[in-house]
Amino acid sequence: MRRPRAWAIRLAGFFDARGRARQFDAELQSHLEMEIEDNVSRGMTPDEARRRTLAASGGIQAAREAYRDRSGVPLLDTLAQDIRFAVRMLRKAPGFTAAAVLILALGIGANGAMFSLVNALLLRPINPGASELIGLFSGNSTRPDAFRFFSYPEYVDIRDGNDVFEHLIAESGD
Amino acid sequence: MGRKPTDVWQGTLALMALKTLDTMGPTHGYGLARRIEQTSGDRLSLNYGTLYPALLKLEQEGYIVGEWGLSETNRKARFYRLTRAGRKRLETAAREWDQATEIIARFLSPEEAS
Repeated sequence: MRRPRAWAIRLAGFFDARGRARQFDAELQSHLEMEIEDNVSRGMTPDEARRRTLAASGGIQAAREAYRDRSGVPLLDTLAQDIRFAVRMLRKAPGFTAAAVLILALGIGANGAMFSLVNALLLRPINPGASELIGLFSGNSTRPDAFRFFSYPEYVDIRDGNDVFEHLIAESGD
Repeated sequence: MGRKPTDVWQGTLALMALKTLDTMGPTHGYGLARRIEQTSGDRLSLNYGTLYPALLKLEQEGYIVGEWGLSETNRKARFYRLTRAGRKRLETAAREWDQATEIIARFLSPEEAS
């Protein structure tokens, strides 16, 4: 029901983690001060009230963490942390980084080249319009199951009189 | 009998907070915590580590709105107030809670069991 809205706000919170934390710290501080004030008005000395309040409050850090988990997206937080850590480590070892990048680049490049070759030669049909290819032969009325080739002048005749096909080529027998 | 205050159960805190804001009007977190403890007859203890994440959740869901203001003692504090959606949510949540307790009560009362 209200989930999408809450997640949108949490996503925004992820990008403004510092602002949210600052706001919560201010809120927490005002909370603690009011509690101390209350304790003083109940007759404690300011020192005692402060000590009591902080002791009873059971973990400011834990409260901060609980609040942060709710204000952002913990999964994204750890992911961002990991990425930052990775970048830092890579920067610390430039030689290793360069070698790793080089190997990856070569590997990916070689793979890509190989694939485009295989793709062009093996995977794709030679001519996408293969169904429109037609072979021309001349028949032999005495032997219906055989056919005969054309002479060159015959080919030239057919080519010049062609108004059916887009192109016409001849192939020589030997 | 002298019993120790128990921690607030997570699911019920939202309802308590909404109801308290409804009756008290805009309230800061500290006042809300004290008021909830007081209303429970000091049988509940509510620490801020529990309260503020719950308030944040309600705020994200649009049931309450927090705004900075000045407290009775002139201290800067974040005041929460119920939104219209929050009031509606309070109504349905209260109804659901009534229903749930009524059902459980039927199981626990001996007359109904027979």
